[in-house]
Amino acid sequence: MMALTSRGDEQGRGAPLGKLRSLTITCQDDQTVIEEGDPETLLGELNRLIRRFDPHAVITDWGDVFLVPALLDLARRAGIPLEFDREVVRRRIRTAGRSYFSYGRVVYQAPSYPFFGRWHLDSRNSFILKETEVAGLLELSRLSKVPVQKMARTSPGSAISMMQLDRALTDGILIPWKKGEPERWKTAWDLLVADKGGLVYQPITGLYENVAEIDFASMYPAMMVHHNISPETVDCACCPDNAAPEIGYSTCRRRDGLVTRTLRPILTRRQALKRLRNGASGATRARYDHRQTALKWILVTCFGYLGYKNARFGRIEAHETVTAYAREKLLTARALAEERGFRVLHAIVDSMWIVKAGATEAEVLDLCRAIREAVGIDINLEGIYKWVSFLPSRVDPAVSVANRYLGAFRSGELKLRGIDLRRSDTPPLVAEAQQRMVEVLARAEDLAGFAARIPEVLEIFVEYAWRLREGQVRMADLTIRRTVSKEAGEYKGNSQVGLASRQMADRGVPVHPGERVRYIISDADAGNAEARVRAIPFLAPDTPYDTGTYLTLLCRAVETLLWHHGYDCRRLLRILAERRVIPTG
Amino acid sequence: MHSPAPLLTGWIFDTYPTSGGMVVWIVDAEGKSHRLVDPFQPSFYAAGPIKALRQLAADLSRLRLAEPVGMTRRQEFWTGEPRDVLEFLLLDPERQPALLRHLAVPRPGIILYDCDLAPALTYCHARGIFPLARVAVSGTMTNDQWERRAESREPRMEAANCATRWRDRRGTWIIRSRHSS
Repeated sequence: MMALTSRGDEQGRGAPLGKLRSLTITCQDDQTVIEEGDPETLLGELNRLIRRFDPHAVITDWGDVFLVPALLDLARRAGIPLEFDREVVRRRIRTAGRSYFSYGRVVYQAPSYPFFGRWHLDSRNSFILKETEVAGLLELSRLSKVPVQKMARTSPGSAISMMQLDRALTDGILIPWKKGEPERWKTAWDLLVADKGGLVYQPITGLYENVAEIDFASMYPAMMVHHNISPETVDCACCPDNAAPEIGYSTCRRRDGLVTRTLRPILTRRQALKRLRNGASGATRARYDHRQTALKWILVTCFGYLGYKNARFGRIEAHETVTAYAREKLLTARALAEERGFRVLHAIVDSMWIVKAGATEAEVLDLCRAIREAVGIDINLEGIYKWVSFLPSRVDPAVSVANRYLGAFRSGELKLRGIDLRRSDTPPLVAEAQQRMVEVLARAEDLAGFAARIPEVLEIFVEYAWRLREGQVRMADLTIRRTVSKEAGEYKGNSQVGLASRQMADRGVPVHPGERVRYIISDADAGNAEARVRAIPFLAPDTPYDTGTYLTLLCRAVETLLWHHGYDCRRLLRILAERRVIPTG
Repeated sequence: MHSPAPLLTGWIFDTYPTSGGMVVWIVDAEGKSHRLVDPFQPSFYAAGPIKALRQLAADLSRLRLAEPVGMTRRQEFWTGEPRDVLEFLLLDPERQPALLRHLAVPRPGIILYDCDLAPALTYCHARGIFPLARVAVSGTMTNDQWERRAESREPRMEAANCATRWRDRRGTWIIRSRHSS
């Protein structure tokens, strides 16, 4: 395996105007750095190393977006063929990818540069590689029969689609080219009843101790198998008595559905991999974990694909049947928990947070057994929290939100959702400060311990505020990364992301919708909008940063942790004034 | 007929279409990579009135994109009922995009199946292999026809059909070794 990395600007695209500055080639503990120079030297040395090591796989950073097209372009201009491929092929050099809309986000897909006879894996252009490393990638490639390089560049949803196609081929089923199966006619009332999605009980905001979290295991795919939910088995004419709750769509008892047949072995295999992981250690354990995680991702996406109109085996009625059964199962679980004296603090689709004074772990496990027997799907104890904090909306503190909470399990593990350090647009400095504070709070065994650690948290807060105030931070630690949702010219106002995007485009490095732009806030209130932010590639040694704005971001990170003890941004700023970090008043 | 001696044992490293078949890269136990070309023509199917099917067959033959094989019976996805369809062979998997461009022109009454499946998938399915499957490739001359056999040595996996044999249709199996010195 050979690794190729280039050094250029911080967008990973070479210097501001797309120039390759240096290339680092690592193979079998041998590292060669080729600095900027004449193309003949660079290409000759690269070819020599490829011949010497003859790697089966080349792993790059930004290889598809920048590095490989840049090297191929260099090779074309210098007239020196690159020896990435093991057979002679003619390539067209493309630098433009495509942007598309998925699950409410704009996503950018870079052009693809596979090699012939060798694998090219771009670690920055592969969701599966990023989430599950090589072990997970190979697991999905083998199961879906998608060649490794292609699998690296496709989504888990494509993998499950390919497995369904393979299952259909094996079973001699004709696979229609054009689906031609429109959604059936529904009245507004039908839609109101059927199109509800998963069930959510908004959390009761507050800070709690000894809360148990119980989760259904792979709930949606397990139900698809348990109830035989597949596009061709839903709403069948032969089993009207086997109807889904609320919506009344029947599911067939006579035909085993294609989706069911595809998912069943995946669920079994994942359970087996988890068992193997639990009995292993070190690198072997990590490999089993990556493989089961890869399967988790395809199980997560299989439900979405069931309702996706362009999916080969998608049908919205099947999707609605899954959610109808899921709502019923969560309601049953809640009723059983309440019967046994538990208070349900929060529930979301397939998870429930419950609390009962003096309850033991055995009692929770007994409840899980009762729920399993009642609904037919496995439900497990995720863990018992020493403390958990359900947070309100930032926009309106009177409103609770489903996915903004943090807690520390008795095992010492943390669970953080929707807070600053989980967000990609939080500057690293603020994320680091919040991480340190969370680690302090995680040592608390209960609510009293939590309160006792607040002074220590505030000391960390003051320390980081001082660093900001004194200019003792690197620009890289203040970088804000945001995904661009449109072309630079389409931003009409002067939002920070629009300004940064325009700066990039004006200097010849357009950032496409779905790509990320990185910038620092230099003066948020500057009259000249151009001076408000500075895109990272164009930072100068004298570029200032906006201390006040970054202090506000830091205050918000602390506010998130200490909200239930009455620390809001105003109170935190007063503390900074008392400690003379900022002027009084 | 005698038992053929294995020519090559290794793992399926990559597959992709080439003119007239599929390139199959195999990495052997010493880590050497070998490039094979397996002649392969994926099947696809069409249903519809006989007259329209005849016209479709004539058009595709004239364009040298596909040849009809004959009527066969397969299972319809939505109803589960058997359906009579005309099987075609795509003559060159590399020309699948050209086939799809041609088929995109609507033909009244014709329904097409399997024509847009990725050649790598149909190839793996036809040969009973999958990426990184361990295979043994062997060859022997019988009745002027080359016979190939690849037997997977993988533990049983649900997603992969193991224990398979490779046969080419035209006896033009090509084995070329690269970087083997």
